[in-house]
Amino acid sequence: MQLRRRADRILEPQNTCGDRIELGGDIVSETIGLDELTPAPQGDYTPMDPRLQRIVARARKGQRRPASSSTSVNEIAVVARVSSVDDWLGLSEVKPGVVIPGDGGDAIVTGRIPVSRIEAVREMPFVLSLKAAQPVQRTLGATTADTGASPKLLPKGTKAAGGKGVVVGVVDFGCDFAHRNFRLPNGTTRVEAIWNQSAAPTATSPFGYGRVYERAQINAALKKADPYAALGYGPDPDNEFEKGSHGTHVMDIAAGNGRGSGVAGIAPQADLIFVELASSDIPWAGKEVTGKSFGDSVQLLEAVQFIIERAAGRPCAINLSLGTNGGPHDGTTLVEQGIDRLVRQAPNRAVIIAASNSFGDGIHAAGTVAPAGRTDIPWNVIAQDVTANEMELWYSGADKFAVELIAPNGTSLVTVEPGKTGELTTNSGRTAIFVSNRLNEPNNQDNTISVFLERGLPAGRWVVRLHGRSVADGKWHAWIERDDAGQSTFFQPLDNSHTLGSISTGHETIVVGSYDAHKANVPLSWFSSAGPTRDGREKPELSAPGHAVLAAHSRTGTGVISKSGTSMAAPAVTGIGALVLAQAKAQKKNLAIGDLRQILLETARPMTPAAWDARYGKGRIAGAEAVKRLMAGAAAPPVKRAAAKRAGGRS
Amino acid sequence: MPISIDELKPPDPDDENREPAQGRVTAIVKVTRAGYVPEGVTVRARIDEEMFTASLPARLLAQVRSDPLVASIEESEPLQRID
Repeated sequence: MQLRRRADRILEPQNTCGDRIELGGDIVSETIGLDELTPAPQGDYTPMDPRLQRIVARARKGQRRPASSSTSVNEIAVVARVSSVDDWLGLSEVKPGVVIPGDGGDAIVTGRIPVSRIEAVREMPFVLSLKAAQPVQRTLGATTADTGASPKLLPKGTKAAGGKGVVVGVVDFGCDFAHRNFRLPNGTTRVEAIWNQSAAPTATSPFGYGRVYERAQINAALKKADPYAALGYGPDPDNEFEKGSHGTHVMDIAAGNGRGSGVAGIAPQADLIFVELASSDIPWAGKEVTGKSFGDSVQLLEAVQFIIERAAGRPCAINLSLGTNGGPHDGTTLVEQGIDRLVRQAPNRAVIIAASNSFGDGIHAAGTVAPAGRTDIPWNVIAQDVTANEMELWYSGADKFAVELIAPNGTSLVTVEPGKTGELTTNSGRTAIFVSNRLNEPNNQDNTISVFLERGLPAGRWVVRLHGRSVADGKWHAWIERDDAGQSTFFQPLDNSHTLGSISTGHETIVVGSYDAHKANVPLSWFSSAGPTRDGREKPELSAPGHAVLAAHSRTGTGVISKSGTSMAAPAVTGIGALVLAQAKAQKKNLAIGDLRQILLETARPMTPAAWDARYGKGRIAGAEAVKRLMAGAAAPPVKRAAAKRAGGRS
Repeated sequence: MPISIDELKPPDPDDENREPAQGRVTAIVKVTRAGYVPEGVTVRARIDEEMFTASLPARLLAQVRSDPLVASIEESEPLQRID
């Protein structure tokens, strides 16, 4: 057994979860053999905080304590309880910080003191307690710790090896290939390929558009002073809308190696493929799309296909964080069917999707229309809304509803019978209102009503009135489309169920909700969308830490930034999926998506008595348990006997 | 530009400005016969024998949608990043 030691640039542990921080400098190969360890003389230290004792011990050996963001060399941040604030502030050693008076005459104070004066300060009669500052836990460390996916929490004998041999694919926006978390010790890239869908095409562009930057090109760019300019691709610089690119943050959670930031993601040895998504035809322009990132369903499906092709038979876990509010929410959109088919075609593939962040947005309503009855759905368009608004409603193909639209002033504007459309224009001929009442949607044989309100229409309480022309079932669900520049909503009381994103209801994808891993009771993130699907399936399947996650900050090389969202939860599951797939590969086992799903769900930690919760899913993902389950012999056929399961036929 | 409720009216069927759809659209197409590709449709990426992404003239959308060998066609829809 040997301990690994860095050169004299070792810093004090910076987190409380035990993850080692490696700030700058290369790890040296110097090791300490157990044989060379000899006991030092017993120290004679002032009784106090062991962390302070350790710092004093090091100081006595001549080790210098480096400067930090708030301390000078050989200085330490402390928190103390003192009986006299004046005496504390009167100490020449103390650089005072905050003073928080207490009820009993004492106070909690913070300050910076020289390491050489720690014991002296501690022995002051008015110093009742003195503690070294406890660094706030690095929150990506919280993700790996809470999910049991940090190396030391994984089961003994695991061959998951940080996801080695598995492709982690990320379809997102803004890949900072220069961040050290995505580079090998020799400085070269871990990113196999970046497909920038919006770049000018070349002769070899996938599906005829965009441009792929290969590993060699990325490595060549990394040798330049401005690697982004050299490659012709890079994440946007920080701006007033966004600090740190989304895609970089997501990829770090799933598979960063921590060489820059000091804290590794879940699968730090996975191979990386990134697709910078773009829209083939951005139909929205102007103020409402400023600072927003859009893709489209066709190019998303092509992105997934691209990653699978580039994986070339290697296991792969693909992370998606896209969606809208609308859609049938039953997994029948063709983009969902397409992803399902790609995942089913061969084992050792998984697509993980963020549940969405719409729980509190008031964008879902549901109800029942009685035979020959009517139901009003009030729709609140806010006065500040400068954008168009859209509502989508789905109901059984066994029913027929007419839809009437009533303006805020009470005027009934139009009634559209089943199978018809209605349109109203302005004096200039511009379409102001469009209503579609479509029957027999070919993907699910249900009926759907869409109502579009163009920008400029009056704000207030609009009403969509359903008339039951022919009612066998009567149930309906409605969603208001996402509109960050002026979200219209339903009125109270809100029904926040069924708020999963538009592509988060597939049959084979794994959908992930978010909770806060920094709190003891791991509460759900307030925004984390709820299931089930409209056809009653249990999604999200799982939840993971997605609250205040500190991960790679693009264009900083080593920095991190905090972001929250189910987008930050999904990559934790993606990373764990990569670990399980790596373990399976090492055991020469194939995992069909159903096998992987079973392992992840059966090992999840339930948060409610119910077998499934609408927001936690089956529970909090448990990486170590999932790997252990596979090691214990979860049912999966040996590679040689496994046949790639192709999903032919109609779905 | 505010729109008054009072000015709303059904579209004029003779409005010469109401031109037919132009340009090309992208879509996901599901067919009922393996390998079938409707005329005028260009395959972009093949998912399997019965599903592919495609590019086609917008004016052909209705025709493709009514093709008996086309189970479903779904025009590309914008997707926004989930934060």
